[in-house]
Amino acid sequence: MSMKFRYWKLPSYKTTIPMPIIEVVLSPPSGGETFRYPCLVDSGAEYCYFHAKGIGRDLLKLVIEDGEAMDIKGIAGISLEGYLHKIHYKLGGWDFEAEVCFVPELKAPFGILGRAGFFDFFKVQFEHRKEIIELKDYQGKKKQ
Amino acid sequence: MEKGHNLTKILSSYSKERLWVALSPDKKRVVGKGKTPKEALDMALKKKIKEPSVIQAIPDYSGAVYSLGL
Repeated sequence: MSMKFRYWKLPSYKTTIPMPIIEVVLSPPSGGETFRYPCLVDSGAEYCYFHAKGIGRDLLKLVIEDGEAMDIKGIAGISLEGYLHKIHYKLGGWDFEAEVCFVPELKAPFGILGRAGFFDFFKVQFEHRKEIIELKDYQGKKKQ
Repeated sequence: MEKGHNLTKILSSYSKERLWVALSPDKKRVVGKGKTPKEALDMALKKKIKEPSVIQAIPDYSGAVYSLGL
């Protein structure tokens, strides 16, 4: 199965910037309201990074500190703490269980879909000029 | 193909305060707002909006390497 997504247009100093944003659909594992969480598709990110307090604790009702603690290193050498949790998310017609890193000090205004937990599941093709992302799943094939 | 969305105008009223907003499924209306995703989502759910989308409104989304926590 494959699916194409158009970039979203967001405010910038040049009026607008097209960005490869895809929404994931999340629900608290313990039950509760389903919501959508726009995420940037970012091959430079090792993991998927979600907001720890706003999304993980308040909406998914996770105990963030119960996850496996990890350091996330940035371009300036600054280290942030994060906590890995296995969660379910839906995207297009797909449904996944993935390890996501919840970051208390995440400054991004949306989530991040990185290599583990997202690129693991899809062949991802950017047609940047046309502002389109195409996802193709591996049809159940395991990672080599 | 999933539609793209142009949020340039609808986020502008909320970006100065960097509020979290909940968007309607067609992304044409802000149906909730607050200082946290939960405040925005709760406001949307009170209006019986199904699966609202929560995002933070900021003035400028360009120029950042988001995955690096900057």
